[in-house]
Amino acid sequence: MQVSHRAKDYRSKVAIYADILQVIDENGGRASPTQILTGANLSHGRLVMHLERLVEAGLLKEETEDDRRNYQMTDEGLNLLQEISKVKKFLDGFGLPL
Amino acid sequence: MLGFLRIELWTSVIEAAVSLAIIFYSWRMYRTTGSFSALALNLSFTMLFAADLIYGGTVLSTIIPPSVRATEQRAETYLRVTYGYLIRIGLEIAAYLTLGVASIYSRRPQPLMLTVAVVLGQVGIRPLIPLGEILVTAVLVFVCGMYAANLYEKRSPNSLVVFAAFVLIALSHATMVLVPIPGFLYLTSHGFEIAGFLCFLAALLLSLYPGGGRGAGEPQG
Repeated sequence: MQVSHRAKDYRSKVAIYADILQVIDENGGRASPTQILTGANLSHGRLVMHLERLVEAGLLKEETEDDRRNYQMTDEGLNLLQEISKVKKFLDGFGLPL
Repeated sequence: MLGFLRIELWTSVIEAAVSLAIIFYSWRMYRTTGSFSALALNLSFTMLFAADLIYGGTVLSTIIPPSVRATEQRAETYLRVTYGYLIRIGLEIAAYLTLGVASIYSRRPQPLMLTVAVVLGQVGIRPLIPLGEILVTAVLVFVCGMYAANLYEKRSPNSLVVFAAFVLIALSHATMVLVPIPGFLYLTSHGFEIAGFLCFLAALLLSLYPGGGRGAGEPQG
């Protein structure tokens, strides 16, 4: 798992979304809130807010199984993550943050 | 003279084409992600594109009419090309400063202060073209420093290619300062500049078509 931001760096909203989607992708396309929380280095309050936005945007799908909540990445989410990966790589070359 | 103007024209055309590709993709990147950095990159390359378009246009306008061959027209031609060149240098300084400022936006302000000091320290040098070239070189040396730091930190092919691009473009402007009369260094300078812009293109292609990635979350830097 790779969250590329140093502790002092400010993360833009899209960088946070990218980190969330990346954590889910690295978990095989599905992850629990705890896995996302630790992987994307977010507080619980902020995580809930961002997850709601991502679900509303159709990038994630919320699933409940045996009283356990999981988030599954949709095709749109995967497409966005691929696009963000390209953008991040290009901007990295110029030393620019996402 | 016509031969040199043709070199100027082709250099501008190649640079404008590379800039246009980066403008297109950085705008798409901005629309997809809303990233401020992508917008800064877009703005910077738009200025470089405008610089090449304006300068290329002035050079072309002197090449197309056959009157350029007439001796009496040479002074007028020289003046027109000089104006175009000065506009180009101004836009290049603005473009590279935009990139430099954007790259230190989330880092430390000291390099920016250093650049401002270097730029201000050069004001007063005459005539204008060497001054412009010196200013561009000074800004580019600063930008190279930033990208050397970035290369050291990221150690990725992309950061290497972008660093190489800025080193080549800085060398191009530095050699141009050393050229009192067009000659071998003049050609070398344009060669460096074209190579630098081709490195930008390589950086874009490396990002768009990464080899051996494993899909979305490929490891980076």
